[in-house]
Amino acid sequence: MSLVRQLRLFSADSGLTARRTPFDPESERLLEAYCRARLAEGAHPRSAEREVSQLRTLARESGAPRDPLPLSELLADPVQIARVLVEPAFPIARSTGRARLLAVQRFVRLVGPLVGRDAASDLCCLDASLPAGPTNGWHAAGTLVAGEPGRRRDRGPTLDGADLLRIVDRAAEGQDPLRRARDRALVAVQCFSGLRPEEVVGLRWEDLEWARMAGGYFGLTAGVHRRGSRLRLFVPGPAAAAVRGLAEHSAEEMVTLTGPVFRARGRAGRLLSYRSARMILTRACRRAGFPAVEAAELRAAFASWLRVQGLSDHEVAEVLGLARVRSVDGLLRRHAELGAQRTVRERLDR
Amino acid sequence: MTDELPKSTPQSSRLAQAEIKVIQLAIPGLALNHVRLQHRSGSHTGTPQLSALSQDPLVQTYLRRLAARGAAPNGVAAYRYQLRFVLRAAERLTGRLIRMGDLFRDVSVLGRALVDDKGGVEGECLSKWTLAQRRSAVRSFASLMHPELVSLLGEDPHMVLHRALRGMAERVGGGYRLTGGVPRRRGGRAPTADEIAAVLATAGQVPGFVGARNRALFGILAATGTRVNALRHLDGADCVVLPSGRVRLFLHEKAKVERREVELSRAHADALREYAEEFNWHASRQGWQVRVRLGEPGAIWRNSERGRWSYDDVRRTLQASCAAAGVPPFAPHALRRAFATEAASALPRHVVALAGGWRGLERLDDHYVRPHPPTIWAKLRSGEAVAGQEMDAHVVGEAVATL
Repeated sequence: MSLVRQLRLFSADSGLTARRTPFDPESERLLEAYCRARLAEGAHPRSAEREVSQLRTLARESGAPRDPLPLSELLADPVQIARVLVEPAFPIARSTGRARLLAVQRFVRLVGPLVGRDAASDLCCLDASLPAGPTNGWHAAGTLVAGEPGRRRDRGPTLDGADLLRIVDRAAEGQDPLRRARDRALVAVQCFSGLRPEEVVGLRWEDLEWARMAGGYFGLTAGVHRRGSRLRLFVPGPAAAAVRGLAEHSAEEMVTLTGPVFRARGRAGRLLSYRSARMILTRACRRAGFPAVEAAELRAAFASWLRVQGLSDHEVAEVLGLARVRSVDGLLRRHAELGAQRTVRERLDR
Repeated sequence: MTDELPKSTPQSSRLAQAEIKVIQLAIPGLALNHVRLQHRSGSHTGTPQLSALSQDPLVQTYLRRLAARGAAPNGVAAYRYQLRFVLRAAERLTGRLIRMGDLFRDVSVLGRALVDDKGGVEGECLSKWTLAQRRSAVRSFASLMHPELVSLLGEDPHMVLHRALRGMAERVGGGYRLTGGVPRRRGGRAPTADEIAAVLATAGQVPGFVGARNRALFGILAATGTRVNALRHLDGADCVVLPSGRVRLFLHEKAKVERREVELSRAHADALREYAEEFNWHASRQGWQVRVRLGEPGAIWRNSERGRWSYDDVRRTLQASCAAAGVPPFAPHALRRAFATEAASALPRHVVALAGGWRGLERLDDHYVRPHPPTIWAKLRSGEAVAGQEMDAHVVGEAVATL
């Protein structure tokens, strides 16, 4: 089985799947070589897969519809690469634009010599063909690529802790008690923990651990991989209670359980897909009277709930597993705006 | 560059005017705006022809790249307008048609066009703010068209731009200072709370959905400090009714992609619902197909079954209400100044900025907060009274101590 195929299966296991356009064998061979080189450099398999996806997009947008340009031809034409990077066929986020540039630069550096190209001169040509702004230091090239700076999807309403509890309460539906417990636990973990959606669907019983806290209190923690290391995130009361409720449906003790926490119905032991998890959350939101909300809104509401519990910004960042405390400010910005609106309204109504 | 600009003939201009007149007459309450007509027909003295820019492939590519970088449509339009004005200024200075590539080749003309502060109307002088935006547009052009300009000029276009600006600037201390342009006019006056209450009461007296609409729209403007066009463009799908009954509006925020979330008070949410009910009842009686529904797509603020309530109509309604209430007339944007002024007189400025959607304090301080002398006097008087009471207590205390 080819490495690219294995990486695709890796993504499928994580619930992240997408349709692919068929490429010519030579391009597939180059992508395979690229993956090997990236993995040999120590890149995470998911990073390599994402870069391959960006390269496929560039080849698709460079060629005719349903007939992507072979990657060897694309490598030979840095001006065409620059054109696609600067004027993509569809609007993209700025992070996607930067990811594409990064993938192309790595591809030219790693695979270019394999097809007889001079990587250094190709990269110079690519730099010269891309727009550039003024720079302040030696370390910045000022290169500009396409991409919108803000979010492309509109956000939903700002939620607070009471709204999260309402959503969790409405999560369980149907006659099957196991399914009700699973849906409730799934939504509770998404609402009341710092786990990201892909981490929630990939959660296994082995990742959960009861840790002894100060004062003899046992708190649930979940182990996740982030930024190249393993973190243990707190799973506070409402989420821990829902997970314990799910564990009670099995014959074993929670500490002895193994395998995925959230399983799909049907085949035993299969992970719940990302899309199914999203649908369960969307249905819970609708039943609670809210429009479908995204993970960012839930994280912001959870951060707000933590602040109400008396946690400082640094402690909130720790519970959410954030690398920078400043990210907490971003999460709570809209809460601060609504709070200010209420303060002004109360003052002016006097 | 010998291309002639296509000029609109007087006959075609008259035809266009007649056509617009017919359209405007079909919309009740919409009068002819001659300045706008001049802009549309291109006969305005200072506004360059649109085709001058559309013929320049560099500018067309630049606008495409700017949009791909995520610039808002209004931002793209503003930069396009500024580039047009720069070309027009260069054309006036050189006496020939000029394109962006030619402009960058001639450093002297580029510099003079960038600091040219002659406005569209004879004798009018542009503000420093307008000139700064013009420089930003040209700088952005130099960045996004960097590869093409490098091949055209043989050097970094940013260096060319620096030379052009330094050539026109005054050497001051360790840097350069540009001359030209007049200081930007600060916003007008901010009406007082009593004036706003009187105007809102008058505007809401109109029977039917019109009165309910006036009450809701002007009430929300005054209570939240929202920009009038952001609220006017509100879509039903951008109104979220929460399970608690609260209504949140997602409004366009100037120069931002992400929308601003504004929570309405109970009173204003009820006023909005009342307007929707009144309008829908009126529409059903008139046999109109349109309805106003919170949470569903469609314009919220309407004057008829066609489209949104226009800005000109909003402005006229407010001015008529001011006249009827015996209050000096003010524009809808003055309600935002009034919000800032009232809130800043009682709360810290950073809270006001967060509540009203100002990203920094500078714009709020310089353009929006207009302290009312009566408020200042009232505070001074109460302060004097407190100080007097403290002084009396001090004197009595000393007397008691002496005894």
